[in-house]
Amino acid sequence: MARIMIVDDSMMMRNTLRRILEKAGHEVVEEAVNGQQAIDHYPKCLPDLVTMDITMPGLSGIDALKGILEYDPQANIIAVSALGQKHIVFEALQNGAKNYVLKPIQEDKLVAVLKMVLEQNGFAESQ
Amino acid sequence: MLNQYFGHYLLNKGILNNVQLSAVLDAERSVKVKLGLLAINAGLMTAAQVEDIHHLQRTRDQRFGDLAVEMGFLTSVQVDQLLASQREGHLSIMQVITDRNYMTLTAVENALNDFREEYGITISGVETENETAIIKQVVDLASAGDKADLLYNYVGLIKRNAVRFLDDPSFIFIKNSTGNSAQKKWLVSQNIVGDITLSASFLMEESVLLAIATRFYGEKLVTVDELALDSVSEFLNVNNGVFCSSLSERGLMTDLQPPIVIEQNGETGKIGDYCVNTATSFGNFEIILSLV
Repeated sequence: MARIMIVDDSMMMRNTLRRILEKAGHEVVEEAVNGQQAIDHYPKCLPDLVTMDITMPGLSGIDALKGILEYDPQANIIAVSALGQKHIVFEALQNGAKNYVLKPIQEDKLVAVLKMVLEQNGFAESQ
Repeated sequence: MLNQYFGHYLLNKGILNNVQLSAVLDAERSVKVKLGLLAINAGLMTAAQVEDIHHLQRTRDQRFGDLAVEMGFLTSVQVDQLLASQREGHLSIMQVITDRNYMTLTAVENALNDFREEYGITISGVETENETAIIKQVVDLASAGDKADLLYNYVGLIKRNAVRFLDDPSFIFIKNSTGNSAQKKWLVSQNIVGDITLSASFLMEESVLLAIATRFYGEKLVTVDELALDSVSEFLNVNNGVFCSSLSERGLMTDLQPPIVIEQNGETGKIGDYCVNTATSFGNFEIILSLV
């Protein structure tokens, strides 16, 4: 089980992600509705993984990703985006996002990507 | 057809790791796509046939196209067409992947087929023509000039996604709006910006908004609140994301701005350049498009 922070300006997406992640046995330790909140909340909850929406009003997902990685270069961040936002998804990967999931979120894919990222980055199942 | 989303698909499938994908993305800008890969992508040759030609080339000093014609895999006209498409560069990521031996041609072919099926973002040219012909019977977007085909594609995409995400196979386009113009409506809107700029909106009454929100979110929603508005916004966002992806395959780079929602009370004036009326099993709504 991993401790996860969800970052998304859409309540619908936050609810959907929470539902999938909790069903998969993970704990959602924090939710942030914009990039600045994500940067502010990260040091307080120190999650094992962050799901980061890319397109948000105000501080974008890319800027929030950079801010979190500046604080914790080892942070596991998965970018969440609609198909079609090519430039910024590349930017997210180039700036340290560990992987990427497309909306609409498909439960099995999200869980598989999350598992892969956690395993590739040394997170043991028993933690 | 293919764009760089294929690379992310391979990453998420665990076929490429993120170090390999970054290397591929760095290298793909300068690579020249070879004829064999173009032929596989066009569905004119299988990976096995391309490998046969490669094998032959080891013993015969002839060009791929000449051998493919000689073997009866391609006609000379097809070779010319494929070579012309070489400049479009949409397949460069596949070329880099095979050049670097990250995947074999057969594995790329299989993954490409899976990718197309899974994301369902393409339909054949014939299907597109049929779909556009049906839409043209009720909607005239010809005044958009050379952008008209993009708008027809957008409208067709909404229909396909209504079936896919809203489970509404009865979705049709109609000539005239049947809504009550005096009733309060909601405008959910999003801008696509970049090589083309398109404002895409849904205008609907409350009951329709709640029905779309319920179907897309997957739980019954009875009040127009943040969750319901976010759900319809996400439906529009997903549509537009798929549309942006299809634009990128035409070489048009675009990004999405966050969706916005506006409450409209009573009669509304002209909101956009093009209005397409739809009828669904849960009520009617308008698709409103504006090109800048």
